[in-house]
Amino acid sequence: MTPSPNRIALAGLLTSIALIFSYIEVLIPFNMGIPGVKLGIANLVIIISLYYLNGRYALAVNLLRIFISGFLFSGVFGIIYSLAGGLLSLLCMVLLKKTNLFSVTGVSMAGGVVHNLGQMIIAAVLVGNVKVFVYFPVLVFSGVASGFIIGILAFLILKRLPSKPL
Amino acid sequence: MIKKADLILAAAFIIAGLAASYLLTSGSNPGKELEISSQGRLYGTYSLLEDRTIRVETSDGHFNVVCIRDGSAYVRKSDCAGQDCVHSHEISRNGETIVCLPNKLLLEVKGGEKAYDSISK
Repeated sequence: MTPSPNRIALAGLLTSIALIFSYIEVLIPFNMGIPGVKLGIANLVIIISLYYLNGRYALAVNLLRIFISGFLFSGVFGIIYSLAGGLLSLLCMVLLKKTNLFSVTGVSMAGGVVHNLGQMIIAAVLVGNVKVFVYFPVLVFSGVASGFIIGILAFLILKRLPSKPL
Repeated sequence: MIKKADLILAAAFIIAGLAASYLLTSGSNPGKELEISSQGRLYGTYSLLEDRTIRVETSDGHFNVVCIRDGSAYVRKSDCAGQDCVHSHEISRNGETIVCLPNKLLLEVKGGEKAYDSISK
């Protein structure tokens, strides 16, 4: 897929939507009272980018979203956490998509779980304590659940997008 | 929308999560309360769910300061010589103890699930 103005414009649009979603999640945290459990609606945009454009565009959208929303809302540590979760989960989703075994839902679920895993690894490194892994089971379940919801949404949205890629 | 492989993947994650939670909790029966004995007598029983600080004084003027925080108990301060109690790891599981021999202080976590030892007794 060679870059075209249309695709670049779409990537810019997706980045701004991802930023808005990040902002919404700052305003209304979908928090169940457990640290790290959230819906991750920005990931919806990343999945759309991955499926509608490609992995490279998804990476660009993801990095821009993480850095801009990090500088706007959460600061340097927020960026480190987001980078660990975001990059690891995108890598996992790209690989799973390549296998062609899974639908968007499965890819999204794996992304959700791996995202939480990445953040936990960073937390363990920053805190200097492996004890943060007691949250692992909770974050696996929340990753599966949020990944499932996001995956279904992504499927419904992808179905309604014009089928001819730009 | 959902393929068979997705369901297998979800099941694998859930099994991994359950296995991890089983491994993390097995052998650890979190206790509900802390029993403090001083000079061989029961000094008091305190809930581990409430954060608090307890100053235990002996009749001959020695003291230990016991802290309960986030479901665990530890000795924050003591006027004993060895300070072993202060350096003891915090306790939260049923049957775990901290002892301060010079001040004849014993902390024990109680009230969780029955430990296996009590069955085999």
